[in-house]
Amino acid sequence: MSTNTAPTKQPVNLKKNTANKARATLVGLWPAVLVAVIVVGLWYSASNFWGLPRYILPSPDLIVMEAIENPDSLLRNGWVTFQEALAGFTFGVLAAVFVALLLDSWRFLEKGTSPYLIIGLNVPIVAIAPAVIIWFGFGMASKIVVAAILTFFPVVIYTLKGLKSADRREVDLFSVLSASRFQELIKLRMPSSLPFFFAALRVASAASVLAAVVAEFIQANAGIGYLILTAAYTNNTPRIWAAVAVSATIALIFYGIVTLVERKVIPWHSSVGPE
Amino acid sequence: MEEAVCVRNLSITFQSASGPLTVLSEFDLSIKRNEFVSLIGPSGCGKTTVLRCVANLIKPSAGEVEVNGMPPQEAVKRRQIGYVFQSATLLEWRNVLKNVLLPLELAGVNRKTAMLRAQAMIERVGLSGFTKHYPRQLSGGMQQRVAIARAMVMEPDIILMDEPFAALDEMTRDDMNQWLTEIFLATESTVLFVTHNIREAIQLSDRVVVMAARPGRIIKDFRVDFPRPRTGELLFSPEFTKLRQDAEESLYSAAHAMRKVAP
Repeated sequence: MSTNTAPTKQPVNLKKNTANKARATLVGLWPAVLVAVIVVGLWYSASNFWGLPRYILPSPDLIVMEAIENPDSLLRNGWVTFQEALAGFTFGVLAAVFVALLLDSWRFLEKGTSPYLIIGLNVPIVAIAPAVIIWFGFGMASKIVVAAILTFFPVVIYTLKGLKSADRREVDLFSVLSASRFQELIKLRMPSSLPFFFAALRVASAASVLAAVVAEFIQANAGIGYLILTAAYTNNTPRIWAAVAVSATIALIFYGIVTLVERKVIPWHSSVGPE
Repeated sequence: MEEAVCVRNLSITFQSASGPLTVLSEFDLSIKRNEFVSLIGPSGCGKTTVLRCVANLIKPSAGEVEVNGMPPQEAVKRRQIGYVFQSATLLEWRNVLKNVLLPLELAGVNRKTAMLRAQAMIERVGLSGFTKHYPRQLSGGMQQRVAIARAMVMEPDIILMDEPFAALDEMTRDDMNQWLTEIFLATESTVLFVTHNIREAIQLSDRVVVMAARPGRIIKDFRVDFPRPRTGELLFSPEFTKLRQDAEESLYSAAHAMRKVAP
């Protein structure tokens, strides 16, 4: 062999690199921790020394005390919201993938529906939550449906876009290799769509929690939205903020899971692994 | 059946914004079995279009193309054509081994045989140590070698190469040319190679075909008879230089002719 072209990059193992990256992330976290310490410090001072009234923003220690003293209701209601959001997210994603594949293989249907998908993405869909509650009742089912709707639109639109994102030369390659349409879908267009799909999942993971909480505001007998509403009636601001923290935690858990799965599934993509 | 590729009276017309655009007009080219032919010419002269026609990626507006005595569509279906694109066009989610396996998978070759063939091919392009690497962990030259391995793993009769080394630096390109010559000598393949680089064309080919643009047509067809591999002193010999100058002259006259025609 007359060639000895060196690789431009170190022949690294992608998995090992992920571990290195995780450690780097942890080390890189300290500026964020510092910011948190400063913000909480200022907040504490504002509440306790500078006269910020409790009904506007309670001192952070009061919020923590509330969480410690009444963990039951936070956990119980948080669990309800978690289940609603998770179920809605799951149904929404499944429906979106199914519809995206259907529209992708049927151009007429895609042309006919794409304006409405864009409308669906942009209209504040939570506005229909009251109607959904009338259809599906006060329980968890209506919240799941609202979460599923909010998940559906971004996922279907991005996945459809991803299915069409394959490079023209890659399509030519498959043509020269005499690939069937099905092979092209499975081996080229679906893998090409994965980065788009995961980007949509990240958007949808936050949206599904938001949807469940908003739907609970309207009419519910359990969940974080319900908890916030009842706390607001009694002016229990520490409880409101503790509930807000729980809902944020749920959304972060979703986001983290999506990111972890993304790293496992598409380690080759530039949004993940080594640079 | 002597001819691997036979193009007769080929015309290609695209509909562009400013009306119909004739890319190729009455183009004739025939390539013998196990011949290495380079197409050179100014940008936009339709070199790539010829390749795309042979690979059934576009249909001729008039005239005909035969590959191994059959229409391109049939040759593609029988997997007799390998294509190497200007960029490596590797699937970024597949490592080197799986990229080379792709044509075998698509052809339904059983897993065991496919693995053996892919591994043998990877060894032949000198990348045995890199089977688990992903495309973006490889240099441009290595990526292009993977692409060539992928094009050759089905042992196609005809390999079409569209400026495969255009993006590489001069040194790497030289290495790749040496390497490609070795590979070519070891196979029965016929190669149709598109390039801008006159030296590369002469170094690699049995014939160098010079094209002019608008419409794309052949203006000169040189035979190259130097023994292979063409390395070292030969590249600086008077004969090589003479051929290079001749080719250069006809290439410039082609570019000049184009400028006269251009509005």
